[in-house]
Parts: sequence; structure tokens; C-alpha cells
Amino acid sequence: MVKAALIFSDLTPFFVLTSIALFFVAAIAEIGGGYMVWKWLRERKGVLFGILGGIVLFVYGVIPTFQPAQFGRVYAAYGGIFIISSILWGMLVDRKKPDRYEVIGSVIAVMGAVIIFYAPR
Amino acid sequence: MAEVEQYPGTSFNTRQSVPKTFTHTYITSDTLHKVTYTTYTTISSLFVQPLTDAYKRKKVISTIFFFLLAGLFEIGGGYLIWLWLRADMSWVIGVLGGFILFLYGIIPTLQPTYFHRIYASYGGIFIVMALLWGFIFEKEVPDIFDIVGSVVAIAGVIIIFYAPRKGEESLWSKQH
Repeated sequence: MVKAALIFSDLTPFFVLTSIALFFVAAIAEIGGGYMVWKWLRERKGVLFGILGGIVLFVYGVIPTFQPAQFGRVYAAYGGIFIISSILWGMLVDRKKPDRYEVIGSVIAVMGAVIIFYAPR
Repeated sequence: MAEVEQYPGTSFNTRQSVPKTFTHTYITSDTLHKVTYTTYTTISSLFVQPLTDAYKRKKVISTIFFFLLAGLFEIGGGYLIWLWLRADMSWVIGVLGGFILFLYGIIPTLQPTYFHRIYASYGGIFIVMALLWGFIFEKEVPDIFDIVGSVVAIAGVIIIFYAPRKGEESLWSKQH
């Protein structure tokens, strides 16, 4: 009961905004770090990329320690944010237009995250 | 086991190498070798062999394996950094966590397609793994909405990652 009350009292606009902002920062760090490691190993762009990627991924690991939200469903929402960020990353950084399966599949997967996060309980 | 069978990795016949004068049962290097060998073959035929066989057969299975492995490494590495900063454990644990996150970054490079497609699919896998993680470690039992949402997310992943495309090597055909 006490725990549930705490969670509800935490759902202030400030909490929600901080949470979402941190998730976007985390997604950018995670995808960015992974992208640098990808540059190193798949596109042979030099080990410097790999080291930088490792550092960025380490920073990504630090971000959730500032995250006020700590339960499974919020992390499921992060999965949805992550999907959108990946597709955007492909469009903006790699200049790859998502094909129709990627668009349809992403919309469906994000719907799954929305069901988990917004379902009336 | 056949009389003259030689264990792999030895240049001698282990059966003949037992001295005939032995009357008591000692744990000799020979018995040790047999036990190790039997344990090794049992474990490999039960767990390792099916995996490597499946891996050789179709790419679908190896890609699923890499997704799950990436999830484990991400959550594991992140958890170690959490222990370092929030549970005041040694910085060594934090560094180890960072290294595991670096390994996590390497796993998607083993996947056979574009960067954004791998990462978008991984997001869907992550949804399910986050719920499983909450269920196992935080005792948050998933309700019907969690399950329906997970199934929908996985359906999305299947479409993003596993839909056969024209002009691309299919993940569903046998590897050559």
C-alpha cells in the first residue's frame, strides 16, 4: 500500500517529463554508442570508434541511475521510445529510408508498448 | 564404450595406460579423464550440440539467440553500474559493468542486416525482457495487458526483422 501510494504521488508532471527526457537521452546514448562500435567492426572505420563507442555505452549505463522510475512497465515504454529512435537514427544519420515492413512493424511494436503503459488498470 | 576407444585429445590409449598392478581404487588421472570426458560429452550433446546444429541450419535461430544475448548483456551491465553508483559497491564492479555494455555493443554487429533494423527490432525484444526482468527480480506479476502488449510487440519485431524482402538474403533459408 505504502509503495503504491509512493508511486502515484511520484506521477507528477515534473516526474513524467524528467523520466521521458532521461529515456530519450538514454536511447540516444545507447544507439550512438552501438553505432560507433558498428562503425568500427562492420565498416572498418578504425579502433578509435570502438573505444569511443565503449565510453558512450558506459555513459549510457550511468543514465538510468538518475532515472526516478524503476519498474518494469516504464522500461517497456522505453522499448517503444527506443524503436522510434532507431528508425529516426537510420533516417537522419545513415540516410536510410525505412522500408514498408520496418514502418508497419515499428508501428505495431510501439502499439504493444502503448498497450502495456496506458492500459486502464 | 568400446574397448579400444581413444579419448579425443590424448595420444595414448587410456584403457591400456592403467597399470595392471593396481589392486585398490584410487582416483587416478585416468579415472579423472574419463569422468571429465563423460561430463563433457553429456553436457555438449544435451545443450551445446543442438544449439550449434540449429545455428548451422538457419539464420533465424542465431538471430534470436543474439537478440536474447544482447538483452542479457545490456541488463547485466546496466545492473552492475547501478550496484556501483546506487548500492555503493566497489568501482571495480562499475568498470566490469561498462565492459559488459561494450560487449553488448558488439553483439548487434554479428547480425546479418542493417543497423536501424536490428536496433528497432531489439527495442521490441527489450519490452518483453523488461517485463520478464520485473517479474523475476521485482516480483511484478505481468497482467493480461502486459501479455497482450508483449505479443503485439513481438508481432511487430517479426514484421520488422523477419519479413522476407526481395533482393535480400532470406533468414529462413538454409545457410550454405
